[in-house]
Amino acid sequence: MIGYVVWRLLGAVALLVVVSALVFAIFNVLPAADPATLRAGKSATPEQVEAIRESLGLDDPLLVRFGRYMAGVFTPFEGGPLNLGTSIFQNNEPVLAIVADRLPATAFLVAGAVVLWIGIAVPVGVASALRRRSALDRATMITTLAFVSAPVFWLGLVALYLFADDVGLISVFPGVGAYDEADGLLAKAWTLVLPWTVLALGTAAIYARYIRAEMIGAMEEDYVRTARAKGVPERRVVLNHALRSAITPVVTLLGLDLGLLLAGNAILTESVFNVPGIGREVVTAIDRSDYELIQGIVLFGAFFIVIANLIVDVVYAYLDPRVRF
Amino acid sequence: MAPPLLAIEELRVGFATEAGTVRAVDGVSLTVESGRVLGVVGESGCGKSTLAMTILGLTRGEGAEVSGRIVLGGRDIAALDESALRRLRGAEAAMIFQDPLASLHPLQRIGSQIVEAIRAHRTVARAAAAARAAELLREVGVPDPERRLREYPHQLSGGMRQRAMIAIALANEPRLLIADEPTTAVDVTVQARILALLDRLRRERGMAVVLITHDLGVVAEVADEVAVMYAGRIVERGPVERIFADPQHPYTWSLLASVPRIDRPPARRLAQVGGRPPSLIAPPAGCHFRPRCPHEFDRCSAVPGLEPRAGDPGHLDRCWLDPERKRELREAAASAGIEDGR
Repeated sequence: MIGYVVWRLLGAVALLVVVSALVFAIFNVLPAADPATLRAGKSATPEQVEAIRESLGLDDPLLVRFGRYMAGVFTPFEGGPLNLGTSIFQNNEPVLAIVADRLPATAFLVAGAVVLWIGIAVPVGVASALRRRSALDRATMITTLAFVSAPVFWLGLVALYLFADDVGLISVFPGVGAYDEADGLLAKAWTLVLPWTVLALGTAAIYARYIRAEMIGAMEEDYVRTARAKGVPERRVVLNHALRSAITPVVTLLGLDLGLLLAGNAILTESVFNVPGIGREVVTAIDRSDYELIQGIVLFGAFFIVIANLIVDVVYAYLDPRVRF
Repeated sequence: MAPPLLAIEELRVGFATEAGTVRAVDGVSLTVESGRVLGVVGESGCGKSTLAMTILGLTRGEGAEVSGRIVLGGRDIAALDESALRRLRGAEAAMIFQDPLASLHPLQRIGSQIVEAIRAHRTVARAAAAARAAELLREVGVPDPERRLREYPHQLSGGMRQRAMIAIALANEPRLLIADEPTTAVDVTVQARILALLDRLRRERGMAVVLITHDLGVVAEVADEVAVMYAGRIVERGPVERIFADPQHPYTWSLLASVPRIDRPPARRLAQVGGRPPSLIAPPAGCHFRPRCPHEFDRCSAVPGLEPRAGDPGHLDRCWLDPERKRELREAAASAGIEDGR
């Protein structure tokens, strides 16, 4: 097991290097806006732009800039490690500091949504699988299909229209932008009830369908028959034998979804509800063409996904001993 | 004489499908005594596995319609409710299956799978159950049991896996063991050892064994009695030596003819049973074997009862042919077979 973890760790580091190089290439080799012009502002003279270009080191050959960038990301030199650049529009604030400032809101949003969607998807998927082709199963499948198909921004707006305390038909939950104003963990959690629900429903629907399919397969396995032949109570047969197997591939899916969401995939939910997370920061950065901030967040996101992948692989090996050998 | 441990009377198992009811088991009666091995033979799809599963009530969950009586130790277990059946499964009657790799949970250690079997029926501490699990593994001939307990099924060889399955089955000292093709998935040398193990266990523990197999060689090795199944019915039943020496049903003849024999000259080609097994949804009226039987005649349109026709009260068959006529036919076939073999 330890050998396996070390091996995966080395692979992840190699992947991080490749991903960093790719991000650099996307932003520096492919045509993009000129950072010096952006920084100089609208009324700057060509000389001023040149001066900025020189001070940023943008005059240097591509390879030199690449070396500086990689050193900044991976080594203690060039402002590193983890020097993801600075934001032009936020007083040259390091991107890492901005990300660190935005991450808690995203993490809080995602964490609540995960608990909610797993809490919905597992019982619904299992119940549906155990009563396959029953009315309950059919109703579940239709409902989940509807939620799978509903876009998050639409679901978000409908939720606000129905339940927000400012514009909603029934004012129950805090509406847009309440997160910033709320003080304390509980108050902030209360403002996240609608975003959590909106973010969780679509994913819960996908997971419920997936768990149902996995459970149906698992219930037909020979080892489930063995468990029954041993005289194990049916409840335990379902939970300890069938679900134990069915949940393993779900863990993989969950790890990847978590990585994606933390890296900014909650962008739509954050935008609709104005939650000050990574996703909303990306939208702002794109709006202002804050080129270095976008690059930094993309790199950060890529790192997050690589690490999420690593964790998934290790957890999977723990759950399925066959992987370790 | 004491009543048999297991007595099945007129057992019928049907599965409703869109095409009609599949009559997988169609009026099976048999008995097994403690310490004896009953071999149930037949080709794939003859209902022998359904029979095995039904004895433990495992076909109920699949929506089977079951009628008839299954009397185990004086109690009709076909009439038990689900929770009483659960207490019986793995305690009074246990089962082992064909493919031990698929039948063991791939994500659980061997030890915890045995411990679970023990604790499903007894209140014992985990440590005591683990000690008992090691003891069981040792009893079924698994070397270094303490280490094996911590391993996963994929780390064991095929033979060791089947031994682990047997250890699970023995966990609560059942009086009846149902073995569904226990040696089909293992190679021949392992097969011999597993059969020897089953033979030893039933002698030492006085356990009754129902051995489901398609392999007459396996039956010849360990069974005391044989029931030949065809299309959901037992077509011939009797002591093993009678079945091999004086088989009465044409289906049994063709099964025996399809087995390679070391004491006969090598045939160029082994005999096969011609045709295909009948549909269990709409089986032929009368004798089920009629469409494939070379000796079919007018009486075969009525179902022959399972009766002693060969002069031995313990040897029953379902064939209308006159026993004298059968002897002639078999002798003719045997001499033709030997000539063919040269």
